[in-house]
Amino acid sequence: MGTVRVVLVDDDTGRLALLDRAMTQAGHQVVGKLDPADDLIAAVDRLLPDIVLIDVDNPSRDTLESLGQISRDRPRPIVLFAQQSDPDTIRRAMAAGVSAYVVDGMSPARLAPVIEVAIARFRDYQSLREELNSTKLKLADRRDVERAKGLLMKRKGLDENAAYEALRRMAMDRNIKLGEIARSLIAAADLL
Amino acid sequence: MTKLKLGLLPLADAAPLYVARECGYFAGQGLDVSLSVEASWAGLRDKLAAGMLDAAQLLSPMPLAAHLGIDRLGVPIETALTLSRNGNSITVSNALFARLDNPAPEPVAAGAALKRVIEADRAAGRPKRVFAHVFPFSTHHYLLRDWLLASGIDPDRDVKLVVVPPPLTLKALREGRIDGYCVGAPWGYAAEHEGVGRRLLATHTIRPGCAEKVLGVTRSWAMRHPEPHLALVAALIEAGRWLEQPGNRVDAGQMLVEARLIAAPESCVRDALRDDRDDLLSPQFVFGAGEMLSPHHDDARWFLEQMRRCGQNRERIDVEDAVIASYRLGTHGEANVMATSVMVPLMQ
Repeated sequence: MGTVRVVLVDDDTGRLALLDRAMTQAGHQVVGKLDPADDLIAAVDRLLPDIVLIDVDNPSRDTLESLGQISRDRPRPIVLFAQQSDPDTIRRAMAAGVSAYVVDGMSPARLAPVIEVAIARFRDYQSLREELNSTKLKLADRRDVERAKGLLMKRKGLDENAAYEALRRMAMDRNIKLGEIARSLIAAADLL
Repeated sequence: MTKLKLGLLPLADAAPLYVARECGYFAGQGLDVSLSVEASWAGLRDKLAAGMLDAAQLLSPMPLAAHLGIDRLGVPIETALTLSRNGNSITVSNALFARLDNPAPEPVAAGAALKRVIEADRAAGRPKRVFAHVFPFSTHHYLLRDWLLASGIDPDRDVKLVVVPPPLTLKALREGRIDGYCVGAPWGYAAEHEGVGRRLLATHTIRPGCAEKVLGVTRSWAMRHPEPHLALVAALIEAGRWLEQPGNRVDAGQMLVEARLIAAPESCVRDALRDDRDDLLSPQFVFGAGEMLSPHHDDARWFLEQMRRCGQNRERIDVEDAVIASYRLGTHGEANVMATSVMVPLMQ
């Protein structure tokens, strides 16, 4: 039966590397790693993958989509997911951000493990990025809140606790985050 | 207020959706609509089919492809509203344009010029010319083929057709990967603005008033949510009518620019929506003039015929069944009665 030939298409090099490692570890053969702006049609012709994995929200999906439609000079029909067979897998994959183009006639038994690895890795990557964003945000928030507090202390003659309390009340009244109110205060102070 | 999520692609003909939001037509029909900018037609269709979007701006052949199951997903989609007509152009590289010797911007002259170049290329043993469109089930694909065929050029043997997403067309043209493309506005203007290509034809000269984008919902969603569906169609009818009032296109251009929707130069976005020019190369968008908002069964039949001609559909199908199931005149009529807040344009 042989290994499954996988092509990865991603403009995020971090995720590309992660996915490549995971696929290889799971015993699948990554035959190509492409940037979405590359000539995908030529690449698919050359690499003859069984499955192409790409971000759900990548514009180049429409190019891959067309490969399944062309039968005259390219007898490599590629279909979206496992031929309409498993709506649950489709939904899970889409929620994780991955879409899969699969050669027609490939058995679901060979396909499922590849899709599962992809879903897991896309999810990992997503949560990693979210975590990174929120950590960055928290750091930025803390810095801005400190600056805003300092401004209030200087301009209004408040002590540290009173300044913090004033900030907190402003944020609550406007139903926005503490970091945001701090940033608008800093911006306003910069203007004055 | 009913909350709805409406998907779209970043193109000039997303204007009715932004107008409906900015002018308050959604709110006026009791809807709280969030617009979701998607990256591909395939992605838009998948999210609609999976229920991640309530409704979407689709290419007008897509509901028919879904009905026939030839989009390989086969989740039935229907439309009760044509969001736009016309608006695509065929643009070619500067090098090819020079070889074409400046033909008049109409299908016969441009087609004859292209055929001459293709024959000369063949005699000289040069590779086939490559033309791009945007999706297998698109007006761009069918109009391009229709024009090539009418010009005596075989779209399968004499040229190579590929799919390139609109934002990547300029790069593909610049790198010489394609010789031309049929894509929606503003990407024809953008090629000229960037100096990488010239507009050869606008598609309204190939099939005037061809339905371009439609409002799509899945059949099951339409059955479960008849009232929000009617309200959504009604709000977008109002937006379409607003876009046909003299002077409003300039404001619509401004809305798209301010929304930072399209990654093309601002002037191209504004030019694409203008309706004060009657030159053959301008997109000539029709959004809401008279009954142009209605889904026309003639369009649906034409699309089904193109699907057959290019081999996308090889089965015998019940054409009228597909047309009636996908292009919903009854729903449109009901919504039309609900759409009241805009002065009816003069051009009835």
